[in-house]
Amino acid sequence: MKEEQRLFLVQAKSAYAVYRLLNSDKSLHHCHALHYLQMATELLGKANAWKSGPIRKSHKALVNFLRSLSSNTKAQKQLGYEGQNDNWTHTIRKITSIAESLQKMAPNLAKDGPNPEYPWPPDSPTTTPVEYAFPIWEELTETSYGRKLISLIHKLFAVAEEYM
Amino acid sequence: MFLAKARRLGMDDYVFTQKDPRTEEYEGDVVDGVTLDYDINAIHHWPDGQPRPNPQLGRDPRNRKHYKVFKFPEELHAAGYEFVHSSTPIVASDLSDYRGLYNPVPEKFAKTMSHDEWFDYLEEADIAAKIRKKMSEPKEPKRGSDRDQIAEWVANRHMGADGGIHQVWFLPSGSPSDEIRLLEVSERFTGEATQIEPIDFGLDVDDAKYKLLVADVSADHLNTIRSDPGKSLPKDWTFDGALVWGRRGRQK
Repeated sequence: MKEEQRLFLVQAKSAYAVYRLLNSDKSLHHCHALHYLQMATELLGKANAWKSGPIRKSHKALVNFLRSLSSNTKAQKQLGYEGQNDNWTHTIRKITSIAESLQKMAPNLAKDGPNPEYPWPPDSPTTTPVEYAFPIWEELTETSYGRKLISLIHKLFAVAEEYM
Repeated sequence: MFLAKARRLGMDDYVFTQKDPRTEEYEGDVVDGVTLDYDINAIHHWPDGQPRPNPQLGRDPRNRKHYKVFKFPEELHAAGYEFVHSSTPIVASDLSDYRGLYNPVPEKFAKTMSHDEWFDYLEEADIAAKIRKKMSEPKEPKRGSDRDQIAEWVANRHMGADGGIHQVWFLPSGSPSDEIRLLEVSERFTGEATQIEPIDFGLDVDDAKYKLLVADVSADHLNTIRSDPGKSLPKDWTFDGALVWGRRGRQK
């Protein structure tokens, strides 16, 4: 693993730990957990992207990372999909669409739309994160494929060093 | 003649066949020895200026194996027949004939579509499920609702949000009073790991705060787990006292 990758990965792991902490505190609004989940997964994606050299300032690293996994047999095996090629391809494809929604939670990508950090739209705010029911959060928590993405992210953090 | 009730796209079809459906691996209820009075031309004849036919299937209370299709509900009532179904039945020589014409679409698609076509189809179903969810959100439990009521509400929300989830098991025994443990049964995105791994979320319903633990399992996996719960369920989880909800309400 390159040093740049290590730097991003330790930061990602720390952000993920904060996400778990925020998620386990029932008194907090979901936007905070969502914010840290978005950051942690973006950092994880960037840690992986540094494998191929310097990366652009982009918030889209998570989806690229997940797409790269679809042909990574080592990751497939480590994440419990050995011998289940169709299931693995389908799972990656399905969760990628939720991951796209998750990475769009970054304020730069959300533009005038919902994000978990700041009131929006930026120029004339009408809504604030703590008073908003994020559809992406509902999809992550209420659907089997949303939970599959969270489960996969959890496992990815657990074995990240092995394929970066 | 035989009568079988088949499900197609969430609706019932009353299928009258000459051949016994049970010989074609049909596992539902079959009524044998039935008769059907169905004058197709007369029932569907709609002269200009006349009311549009509104056919209904009825059963003779004096001979419960005799069925008749009426052109209008008023005719069914006037004849003293029992209402059976709000549409016309399907008449086929055998169940294969019916399936060929009216095959349950998902089953047919599963057998004939390419890999990509099939997953595109599932994606469309998921998108439709989101629309449906917005149309029929279950009402949030009233303030002071107990944990069972909140668990039922969560189960209904999840079944509404994800068309793949068809059953939810709530396992309250032995859990802390502020914890809701659910096993959600779906045939998609579920693994076959020996030890199930619930994902935890916070749940805040009208200031009542719970820890929500959800594990996704397939129906086959659930059966395996139930045969040896100690091997697969997380520590302190048990099926004793479980409440089970399906899409049509409580099952256990």
